[in-house]
Amino acid sequence: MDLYETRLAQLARNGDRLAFRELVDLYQQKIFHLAYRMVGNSHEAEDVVQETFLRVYTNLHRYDPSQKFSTWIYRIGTNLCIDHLRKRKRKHKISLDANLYDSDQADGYDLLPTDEREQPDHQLILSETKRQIREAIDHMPDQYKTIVILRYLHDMSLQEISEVVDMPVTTIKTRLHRGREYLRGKIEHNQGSG
Amino acid sequence: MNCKEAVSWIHEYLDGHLDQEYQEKLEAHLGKCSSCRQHFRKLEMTEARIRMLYQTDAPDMTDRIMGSLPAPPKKRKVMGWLKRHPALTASVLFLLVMFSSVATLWDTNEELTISTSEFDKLIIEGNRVIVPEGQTINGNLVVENGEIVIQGMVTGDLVVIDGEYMASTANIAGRITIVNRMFDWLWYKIAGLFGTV
Repeated sequence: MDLYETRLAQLARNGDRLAFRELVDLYQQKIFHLAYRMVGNSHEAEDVVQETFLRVYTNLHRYDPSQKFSTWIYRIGTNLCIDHLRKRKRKHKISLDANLYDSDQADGYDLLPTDEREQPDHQLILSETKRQIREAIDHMPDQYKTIVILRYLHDMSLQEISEVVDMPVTTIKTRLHRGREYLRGKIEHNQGSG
Repeated sequence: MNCKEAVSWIHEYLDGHLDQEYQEKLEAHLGKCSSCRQHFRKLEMTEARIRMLYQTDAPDMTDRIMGSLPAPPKKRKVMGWLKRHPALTASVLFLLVMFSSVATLWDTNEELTISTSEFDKLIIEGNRVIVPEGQTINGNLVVENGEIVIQGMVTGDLVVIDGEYMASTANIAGRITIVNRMFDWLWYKIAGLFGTV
């Protein structure tokens, strides 16, 4: 699979659009799920997905075939998600409606436009536990959020995560352990049981 | 093993990084310590619940993504084509080089040029070249950009390039070749390369 994707990337670099389309088919869902969980709504997630593939396409000549394609595209996607979150925070800070998004109180879910809540992907998360987990992840600091998402929603090994975010495995480990404890605490707290 | 150590080992275990030997030690501790056992169970449950979130429907964005891509740069397109057709590329390149070098010569070569082994027997008036009566040119005579009048004899071939000739064919032992257009000239040059003119 790795070799196949690397080959597709090389073909795409030489102008083969069908090869690129194949990469889009292979990765659009994965990147969407990553972005959806990172930015918290499908509209912005779609923008991130589109931007990710645009970056991949225009930077194909920089892709190093000795590296896994998945690592490369996840790195681009992850960085775009983090940029997106930073920009949003900055926007909220300078906005006159800043109090609308007081991250200590708003749970993110309430901030979504009502029509988005009606979409099937939101209905799937109607169960209490899922909602709690979702909110807990939404409120995690970005550096923990990224690692928890890559680990649990994308089944990456610590080594792979370290390559994607370009940090040592020990750092990934520490963040993952803290992230796990953080989420455990949240669920426990919300359930009100010991 | 104290509880603090146990918790960090629990995390290692959940990462899938705990050796068999340590796993057994951890199991022994969990068997004795109900607080660590509960902590372990909660972390396991937390993991399971995070994994459950992976159940959203992703939209099909293929057309949107493909539509957003910039047109491939021309250069890369040409390069791709060239790479796919190496033999054709080589021959086109060869012709291009040939053609351009010959075209350069063609452009600049507007002066009268005479090629013969017996130059002294010729009379030249402006761009008119005369082989006077009673004179015999042994071998070939080539005249470029000029008019050739043959009153005497030529034992070899006569080649006139971009010019005119006036002579009775009886006076020329060899063949007469007249070249007035560039491609004929080119052909003459190439054929000359293989000695078949």
